[in-house]
Amino acid sequence: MIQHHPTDNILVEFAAGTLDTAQAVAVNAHMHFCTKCQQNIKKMEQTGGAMLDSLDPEALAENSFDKLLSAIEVMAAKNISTNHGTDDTLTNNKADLRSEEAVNIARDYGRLPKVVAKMMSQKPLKWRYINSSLQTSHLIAGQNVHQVSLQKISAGGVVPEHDHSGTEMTVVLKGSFSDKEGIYQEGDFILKEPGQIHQPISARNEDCLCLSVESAPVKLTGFFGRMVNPFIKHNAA
Amino acid sequence: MSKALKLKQSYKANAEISMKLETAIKKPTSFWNEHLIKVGNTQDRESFKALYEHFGPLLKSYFMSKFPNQHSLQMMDELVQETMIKVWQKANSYDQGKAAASTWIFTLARNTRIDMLRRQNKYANTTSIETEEIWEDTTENGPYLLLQNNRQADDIQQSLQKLPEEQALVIRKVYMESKSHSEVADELSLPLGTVKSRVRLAQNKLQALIK
Repeated sequence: MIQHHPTDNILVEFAAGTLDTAQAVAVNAHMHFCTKCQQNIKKMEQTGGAMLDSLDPEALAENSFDKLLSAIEVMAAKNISTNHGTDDTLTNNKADLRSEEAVNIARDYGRLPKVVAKMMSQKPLKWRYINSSLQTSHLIAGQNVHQVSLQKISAGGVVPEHDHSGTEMTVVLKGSFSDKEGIYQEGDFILKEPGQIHQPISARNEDCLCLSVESAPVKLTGFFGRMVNPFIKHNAA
Repeated sequence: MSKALKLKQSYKANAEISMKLETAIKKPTSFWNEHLIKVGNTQDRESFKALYEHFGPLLKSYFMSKFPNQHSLQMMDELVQETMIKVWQKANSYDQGKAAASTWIFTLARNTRIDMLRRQNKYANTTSIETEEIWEDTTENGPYLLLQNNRQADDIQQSLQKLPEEQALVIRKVYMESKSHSEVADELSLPLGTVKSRVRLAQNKLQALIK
């Protein structure tokens, strides 16, 4: 049962379209698991619609409707469509050669959010060990403001205690982990900000896979952490 | 002037007055939903034109408030056009049981704005992920979410008018000017917490109507 959600303020920024692409990906991943937040977003979009209706109208250019119809006709003639429909990413014929890998990944990790599966299939995953318990693999989300990655904590593993220089959004995709603030399971959305030091520990019975979106490299705290910081490699884009 | 002519003129004057009244009175939500449905079912051009004439100027206002003075009016017209093209192409997937026309069109406008920002970002083409995959229309695939009927959408409009000015101001900046809470706090010289709580309060008042 999902107990940890994005705050209403984060959801409003998502619904209004203000959230950075990478953070929106994290919210989208959470929504894949959470119908409650899907409904909240829908309500917020309703607010957006009502606000749109209440704006002071601005005059359109003359003949603009004719121009619009011409543009539509041109597109129809060229058979261009911006409508991507509701095709499952894996059967979408726009998917490239890597779609087979995406099928395999999705099978390995169970049903993942579409956007995550797509990022995972875009280039081969390159896992890097942070310590013996934690592996991370960089993901491309088409931006350079946040570091987007998959984090895999081995069953029962302990992540080095760390602080955050910026904000970190985490969505549990599979398994679970805990820290002193609580227990986090599949679908849970966790926000950490500077000053919130924690030491995640994975559940004993299975590996834990998470999506992580960080606005700045994490800072290792703790005795050994201060000596070496493998998180420092900040890969954007 | 003959009696007949005077009568004719007064009929015409009355007709003009009643036409003005009709346009001044706000159309209910169902009116626009019906037009959208017609566009989706039969590619009805009259309905599309009605939608364009109503929503086009509102969309232009929306795009102008996000990019004041920064972009030419021509670009604003292009963004309106891009949004209306989406309306035309996707109308057949519109379901009035799941969203009012204004809500649906708002999401298309929002996504058009995001598309534009991503086009300006040189990293955007390093990924094949589409804006619409991140800002998904969850009503298409998800469980049927019985969100609203037309009367609720009309009620929200009313509630919007009744919000305290300070709440209406911040929520307008967040939704229509697409500013983050931090940006609004900076602009109005308010603490971030104050902005966040005013937005939450406003949202709760508006959503109190939706069961």
